[in-house]
Order: sequence, then C-alpha cells, then structure tokens
Amino acid sequence: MVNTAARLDLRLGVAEKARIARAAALRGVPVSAFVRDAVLRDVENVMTAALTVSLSAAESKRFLKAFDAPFKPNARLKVALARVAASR
Amino acid sequence: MPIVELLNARSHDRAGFACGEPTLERYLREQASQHHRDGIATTHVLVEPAAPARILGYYSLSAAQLLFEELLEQGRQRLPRYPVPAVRMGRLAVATLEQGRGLGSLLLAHAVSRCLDLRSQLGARVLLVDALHENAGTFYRAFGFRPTAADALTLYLPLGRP
Repeated sequence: MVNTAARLDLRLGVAEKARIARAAALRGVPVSAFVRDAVLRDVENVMTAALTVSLSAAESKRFLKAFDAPFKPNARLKVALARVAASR
Repeated sequence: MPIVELLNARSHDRAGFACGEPTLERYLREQASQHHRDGIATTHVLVEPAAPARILGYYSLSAAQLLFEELLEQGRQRLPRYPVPAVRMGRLAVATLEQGRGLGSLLLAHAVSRCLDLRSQLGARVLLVDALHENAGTFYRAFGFRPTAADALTLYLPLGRP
C-alpha cells in the first residue's frame, strides 16, 4: 500500500511524457505508479552503490580505540556466533 | 538447522518471500540477482536443507569504506591515511512466518562470522549495517553495534585486528 501523503511534481518534454505513458500502458499500470516504481528502483541502486560512510567525531575517537584491539563481541553476539559455529 | 547459501535465481523462490517490508521483498525479487551480476552486492539466503527453495530470510553484503570526521591532529596520527575498508550489510530480512525463531540473530551472526573470515583476506576492519527504521536499529544495538552518528540508521561494529 502506497502512502500518498507526499507529492512530487516535475517538468518534462511532451515526447518524454508520451514515451513514459506508452511504457506504462504496455506494462498495464498507471503512469504515476510506473514512474514511482522506476524511480524507487533507481533510488535503491544509488543507495546500494553508496560506498562511503562517515563516523561522527565522537564515534571516530571511540572506533580508534577498538581499531587495533582484538575483536570483542558482546555477550549476545557471542552466543549467536557460537550457534553459527556449531552449525558449520 | 537452516543453512545459508548464495542466492540462486533459478533454485530459490524469490517471489514467494514475504517479510512485511515491501522494499526488502522487492529487492530480493527484482534486484538482488542483478546486483550480484553487476558486482554491486551479494545476497545470502537462509533455507532448510529439506525445503531448499523456500527462503526463510536473507542478507546482502557489499564493499564500502569508512571515513573519520573532524579528528584532532593527535588522533589522526594513529589512523591509516586511507579510508578503512568495510563490509556493508545493506539488508537483512526474515520471512513473516518465520519471525520469532531467532533467525534474524542467526543471519546477523552468520554475516559477522563471514566478515571475520574476510578480515584477513580483504583487510575489512568494520561491519556497517543499514537499519530500515528505529526498531531495526534497536536490534543491531543489542548485538553491540553503534550508530555512526547521533540518530543515524547506519550502525557499525569494529571487527578488530586480524
């Protein structure tokens, strides 16, 4: 179910719109649904391809401390890892 | 005991996977295989050996890098000069009918274990996860992940020294 609380307006050429409408008709869906799905699919691609994540200054400092230390799972992760190791 | 396999578009029933999150269902159905072919991300599915087509859950991994913000000169000296190689778990999902069995923990631990193996081969030093919403963030925090910044839905787990 699509939440339709937000709108997105955009300008495009007459020929472009005709092509989009034709493609939507071929797929048998309304133009708006066709455009929304196509854009969201591309959003996923971009997000997945986003390679770089930044740590805040506070977390950077914390991470540096852990950087050269051995891996230290918390109790819960330790239990889950043991379960995986047992299944191998 | 369920096992984790690389997604195979021919043998796994992607269309039959329902987890209550449309973006995670659509990703598995429409994009996971394409991302694998294009080298963007790999998807790993959880199945019972007795019913190997039915997907109980999945996670996807891709390569990423971690940058540090606003470090003091003093701190910077301890850093490698390049960004830290990371593994990013962009998605983790468990089928609606299978929720409550601890399969999310199993998938997460499987991914962590895989990253510990990759650590020595790839130099990956941190696992990043993208939480879809605050509830998912709470799940990861219980396993020791920390938000990359205040209120961030991307969390990290240091993998330590190889």
